[in-house]
Amino acid sequence: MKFKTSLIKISLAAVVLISTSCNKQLNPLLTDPSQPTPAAADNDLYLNNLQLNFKSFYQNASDLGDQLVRYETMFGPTYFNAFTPSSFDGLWNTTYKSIFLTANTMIPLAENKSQFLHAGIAQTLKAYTMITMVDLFGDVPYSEAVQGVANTNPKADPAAAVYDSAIAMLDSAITNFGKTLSTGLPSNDLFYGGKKAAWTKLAKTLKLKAYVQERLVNTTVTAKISALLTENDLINASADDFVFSYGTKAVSPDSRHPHYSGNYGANTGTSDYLGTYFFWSLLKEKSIVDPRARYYLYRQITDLTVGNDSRLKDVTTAQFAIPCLYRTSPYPAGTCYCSVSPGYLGRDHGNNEGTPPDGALKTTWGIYPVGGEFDANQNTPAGTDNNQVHGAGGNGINPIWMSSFTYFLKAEAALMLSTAGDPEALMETGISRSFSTVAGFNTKIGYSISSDTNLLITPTKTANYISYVRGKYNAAASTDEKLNIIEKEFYLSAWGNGLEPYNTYRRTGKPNNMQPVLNGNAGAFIRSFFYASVYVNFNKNATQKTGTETQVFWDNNPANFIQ
Amino acid sequence: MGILLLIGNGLLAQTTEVTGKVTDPSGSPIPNASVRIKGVRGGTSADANGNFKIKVAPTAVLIISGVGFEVTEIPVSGRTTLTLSLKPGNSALSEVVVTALGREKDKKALGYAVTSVKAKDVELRPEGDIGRLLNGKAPGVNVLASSGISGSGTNITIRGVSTITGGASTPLFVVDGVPFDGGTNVNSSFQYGGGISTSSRFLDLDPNNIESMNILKGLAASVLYGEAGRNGVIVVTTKNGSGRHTPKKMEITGTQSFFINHVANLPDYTHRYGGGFDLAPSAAFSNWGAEFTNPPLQMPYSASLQAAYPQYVGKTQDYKFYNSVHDFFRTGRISTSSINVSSSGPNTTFNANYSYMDDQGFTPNNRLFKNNFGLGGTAKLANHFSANAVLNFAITDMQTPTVGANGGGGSADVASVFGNLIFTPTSINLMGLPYQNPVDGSSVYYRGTNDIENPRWAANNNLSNDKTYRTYGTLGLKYDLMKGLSINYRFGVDIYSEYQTLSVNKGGKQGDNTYRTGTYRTMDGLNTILNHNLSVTYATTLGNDFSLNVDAGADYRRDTYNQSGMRSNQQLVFGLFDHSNFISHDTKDEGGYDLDYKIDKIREGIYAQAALGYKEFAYLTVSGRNDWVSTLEPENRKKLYPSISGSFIPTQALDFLKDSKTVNYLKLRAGYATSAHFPDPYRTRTYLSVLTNAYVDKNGNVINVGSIPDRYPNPNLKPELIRELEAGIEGRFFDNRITLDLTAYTRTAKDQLLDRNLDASTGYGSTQINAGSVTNKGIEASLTFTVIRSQDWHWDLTGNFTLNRSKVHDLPSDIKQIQTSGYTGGGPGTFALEGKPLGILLGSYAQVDAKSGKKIVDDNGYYLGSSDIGIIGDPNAKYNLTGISTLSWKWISLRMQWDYTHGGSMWSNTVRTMLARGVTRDTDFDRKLPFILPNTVKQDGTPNNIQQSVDNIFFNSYGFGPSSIAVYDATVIRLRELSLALSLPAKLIKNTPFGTASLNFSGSNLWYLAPNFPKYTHFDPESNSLGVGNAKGIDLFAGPSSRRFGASLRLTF
Repeated sequence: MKFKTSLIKISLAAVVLISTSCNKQLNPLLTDPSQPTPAAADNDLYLNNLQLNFKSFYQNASDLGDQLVRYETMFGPTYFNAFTPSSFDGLWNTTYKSIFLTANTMIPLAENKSQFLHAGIAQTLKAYTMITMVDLFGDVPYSEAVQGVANTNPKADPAAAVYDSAIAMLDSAITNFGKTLSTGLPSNDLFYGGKKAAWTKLAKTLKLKAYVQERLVNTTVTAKISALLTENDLINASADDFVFSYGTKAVSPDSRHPHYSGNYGANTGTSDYLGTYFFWSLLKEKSIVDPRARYYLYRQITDLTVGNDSRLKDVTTAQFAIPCLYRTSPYPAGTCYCSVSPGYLGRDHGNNEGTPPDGALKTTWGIYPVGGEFDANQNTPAGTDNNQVHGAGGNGINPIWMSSFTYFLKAEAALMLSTAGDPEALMETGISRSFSTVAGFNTKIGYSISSDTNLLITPTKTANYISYVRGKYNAAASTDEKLNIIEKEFYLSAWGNGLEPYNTYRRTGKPNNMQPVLNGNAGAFIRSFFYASVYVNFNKNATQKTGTETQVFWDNNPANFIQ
Repeated sequence: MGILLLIGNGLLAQTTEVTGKVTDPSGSPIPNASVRIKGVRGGTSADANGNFKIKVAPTAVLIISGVGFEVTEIPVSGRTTLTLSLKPGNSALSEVVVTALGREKDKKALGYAVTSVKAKDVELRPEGDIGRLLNGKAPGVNVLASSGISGSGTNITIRGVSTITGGASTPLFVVDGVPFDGGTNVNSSFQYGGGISTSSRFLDLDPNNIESMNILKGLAASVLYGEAGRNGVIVVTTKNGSGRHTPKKMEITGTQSFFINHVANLPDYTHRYGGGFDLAPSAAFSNWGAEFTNPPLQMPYSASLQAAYPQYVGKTQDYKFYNSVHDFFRTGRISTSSINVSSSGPNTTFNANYSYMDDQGFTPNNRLFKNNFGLGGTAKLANHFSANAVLNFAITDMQTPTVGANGGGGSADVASVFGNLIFTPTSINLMGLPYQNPVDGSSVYYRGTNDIENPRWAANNNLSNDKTYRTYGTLGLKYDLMKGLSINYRFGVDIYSEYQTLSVNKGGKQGDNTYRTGTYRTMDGLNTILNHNLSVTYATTLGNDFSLNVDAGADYRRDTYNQSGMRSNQQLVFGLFDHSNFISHDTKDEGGYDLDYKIDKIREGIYAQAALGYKEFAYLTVSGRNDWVSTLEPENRKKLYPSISGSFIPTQALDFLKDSKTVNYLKLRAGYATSAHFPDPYRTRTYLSVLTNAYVDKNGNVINVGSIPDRYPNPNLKPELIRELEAGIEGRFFDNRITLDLTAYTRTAKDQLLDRNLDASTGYGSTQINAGSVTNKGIEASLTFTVIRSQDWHWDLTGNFTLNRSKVHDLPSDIKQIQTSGYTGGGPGTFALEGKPLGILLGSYAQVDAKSGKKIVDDNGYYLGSSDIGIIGDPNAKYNLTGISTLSWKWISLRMQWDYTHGGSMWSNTVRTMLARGVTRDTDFDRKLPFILPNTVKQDGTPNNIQQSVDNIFFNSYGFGPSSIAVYDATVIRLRELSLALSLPAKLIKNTPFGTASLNFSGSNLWYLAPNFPKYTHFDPESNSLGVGNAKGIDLFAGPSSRRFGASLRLTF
């Protein structure tokens, strides 16, 4: 019986012990052993996150613009069907969860620690993002955004107010760039290597960009533009170009230019279809060929005629690989269709046919700006085998803001707002900045190309080109025609940046001869994109647009003025 | 299992041999009736024909009992031959079931529904997955296979899903009294095939080693298990853990099965048209090419094929029908061998078994090996102690070609063996052409640029493997303190190490470039569950009329999971899978999730239960449990959940019913119970996310990043409380010819642990809050009718009916909707929406003209899609009905199980892709005629008159149009099981060493019809590309289902 009693006692004691020792024993299990605590936060790590997300944001946004200005093909077939709302989720997530949240977290931390360059960079990148979100979507959440559970349904702010906030943020950034740093430079400034002066120029140039964008709806911008031009502390020289430079590492992580990875990096052929209109503009529109074409574009096949290449050895094969070659153009005479001789194979705007086996045939991105191949008539496919490298290996750039862009903006402002400077001369500087950047690009990224001067950009070719454009400009009868020439040159110089031509097209309607949508029944041009599905699906205050015709605040042009 | 004549072990000296036969009142033999001698240990059993022989003293009294009959005592009175007719008894009154924590209780005293599944319902089947074997056998239990791939994951839900975002509602498995992990350790999202390529861990159980299973469906039944029992409990008793006394000292049972595993559902492909587009033959990945001709057109071999195999240069091939998809599959063979040894003495029992299953799938390189070894025993010691122990060891090894979600475009996030296969154009000679480059091993196929992966290459070069070594068992000690009072201690352990690999050779064409350069992903997980349970049970009577049973105890369970893993890319030497053979290495999977992580969780509980009985016809049980769980902050981690239930048996209580011939037995029961749900670990604290090696700049500098996690932490999280009310009737009527078990329930889980989606503009992707409710209401019924009950013939018909309706309500007003699975954005995905059934499908939809109600087409004559998402279907079935017929004649028994699922929607990418690409006979009409989408209007409301080519309409509208177009009603009827069992009569094997011999022919999934899918697609909606979770209704080339048939032989010695 004694045994029994002690057994009962032990049992009871065990029960009591278990139920009282609970909490203490359980507390250590509340912290995830696989993750660092917030105390590990570091402004350098935040800034790295911000910069990498920013380049993804830019690339994503630029690709959208590309398809609307015919750099790349929009599949369509209608503007309504061209992009599903979920195509913007990545952009929306990057903007708010990565760029805004990181910037909002680190700016005060950096300012407290007198890391003013950290703070200023964060402000500049955030401001660019805000401006671009407005340019793409119109009204977007800003003042109520990024508050976590304190506001689970942020309302959209009027787009103009977001622009104003972005400009104010650029001013704060400029102030920060002007301060003396008491602690070190960012450990990784992936854009300017810690040069405060360059960042200052960028912030001011972005203000110029915003003001020119607003010029149709805001008369006060002329004075502001003039002030910026007078100060002229802008990205005027290619040394100050705002670019993101890629590396050549293929995996873990893939650090190459995404257009290189997608088109050269696969052994299944290239994936992107480039626009035939862009080919035509470079090669056929003028009576002289744009010498940048061999840098911009790489032809995998130099002749699309049957019989001259094993890839097109008979009509059946050729017809299957390039069906459009065997069809009649649905376009009016004079509009490019299907391909541009010799060998420039792309797609027409809004062609949504299934993809034939043309991965080794279509023309793809060249050496500038993606770090691909220079077109020296190699007549070989771009797609790499597993360990083979074609072209420069993907160490290209994102031309986010180039000095040439500044001059084209100055030219537009001079022509349309009569701000300082001669539009024609400004345009000429823009073109020559572009030519020199493109011509010097292979040296800059350390890749040697053909030395055949017939293929390269030479001073003579540059001079001939400029003189041709100047002749056209001087012959132009109206301001509108002159503007068209300026913007066409901007368009041809901006390759790799789909955002600026997309904004310009909606602001000015130029270039005015864009290739129409292939099937004609395309609906309204995308004056702003649908909202991201993550916003519409999960935010009570969000309503999806019903169509593509909604105009951004700075666009007061008539409905359907562009196609 | 048949048991022959067995001699008892306590015989007296002065004996005579008595032979006898036990029959029912109609004269039919009662097989296996037990024959004991009153006052003496031991006895015997009647054989399958009711005959027995026993040596007894002439004055002895025999006690005869048979399942379903009244126990009868009969004095031998010197006779040597006896014929005994037993009265059908009220077995319902004496039925005992295993309930929570392994307690055996009288079924009549339970205030809740328990369904028992017996060994014979799951053994000798062509299927090694215990979950799938339960399909249809228990009302209220819903089983959904993810795929026909052998070893693929399985969903089990009981009484619907009551959590919105709480993960899979897999019930708690309790094996021999201790918790057993039945989860599915998916290491990649559904896009990467995680759900299909990963086994559910209840696969580690051996169906042939199961003594019985009791399914505790309601909370009243499972409350003592605490929060772990909230999804229902499957209490499994293995033969090793049963403590069963064998009829003779030692018994050996050997079983050998052999089955064929066949693909069940291939589409009827068109024999009229071949690959191409616009009626032109070509190497398109569509079947809109030319009509076949005689003699066939001649087509050149692709450039890629010619490059790899010069013999094809300048040659042509016939453009004709090839039965490629059919020929791709193979006939799999399934072999199961098992041996069971059991033995018992007066105070001890012992059982050991080993079984081996080799299941070769119908898909090349899909196979499943299962090794199960177990032993167990019980001992009753003299000093009031009794002990039992069970130890099981399992090795489960599953391999399959990767089955990633496939968009139907030939490209996939991850290689998928079915993705490029099912819609292969009919003119492609898949099986007649090589698929591998002889030089570098890469995939070659019929396309010039070689941009599509050959499915044969995929089947041979992209493999997923999931191998588990598992040990589980229990040690129990019981001390009988005094009459009615005992102390029990039980230690349970379940430890397994799971090793998963994904091996993709270089030279593939699917996925991104990291894949195509070769991928090797390995992951090692170690899962442990340690469980201590100490309890006191007390049973007594209070006066003459009352009985009282009390259980009280404490329970401690610790779950840990440690995983490490690595993903390597850029294979150096083709064919070798070792991380050192790869150039780059990463610690994240394809979706960017960590392969390394740790989970540690402790659950402590104390519980008590008191059951009061009155005169054997009224019972009341009150129980409660309090849990402390480590996943919540101290102030919130404690939860008490009570329950009360009772039963009343009118046939015992009311005089006019006592001897009724019409109502033989009636029981009414009702219960109210609660349970809790605690969140996964680490949801309350904030942390920093870091990523090393995020980018390497052109100078080779490695950039590391820090970021704020996507989930907003919530330190105030509380456990959620689930409430359930259930009531039921059990009865036997008309001379026990009709048996009914009917239950109605309503269950509400409110203040859910809700992982709510946040619009990214809040800065975060999600947060977990306590909000929202899900109510499930349903009916479960089981009705058995004994049609024939004669001497030789017996025919039972059983119908099982399950109906469940769920509704999401009380979502906070700031929540628009919550996505629970599927594709983000345009969908389709499964959602929780206020006032709607849980898991409803949302996606883009075809816009409908308000006036005519017809769908609108755009200016090209295609369906006009939406810019937002809307409801496109409800994947929840309206009801499930199972019909089981068991017909037996003497020693032959024929069993059939038909399952019928009514309603429920499914978005099928397989079907829409087949339509889009014109491969089935559904598009066998004259394709030269232009096509106008029927029943549509233009945007101005006038009838649609826009002509398009057939291929454009099918491609852009029926195929890849708005999501709503590809949603079909998933009603399906199926012959789930058919078996013919022969238990050889004793006289046939009299002169053999065998005690019993039985031969079983059986088949599963022999026929099915899903009438509302396009006719020739033969699509089987019993699949789930979302894998194991609480979402269903989305198919992304999960693959065909499996049809199995064969035979088993079982012999006892």
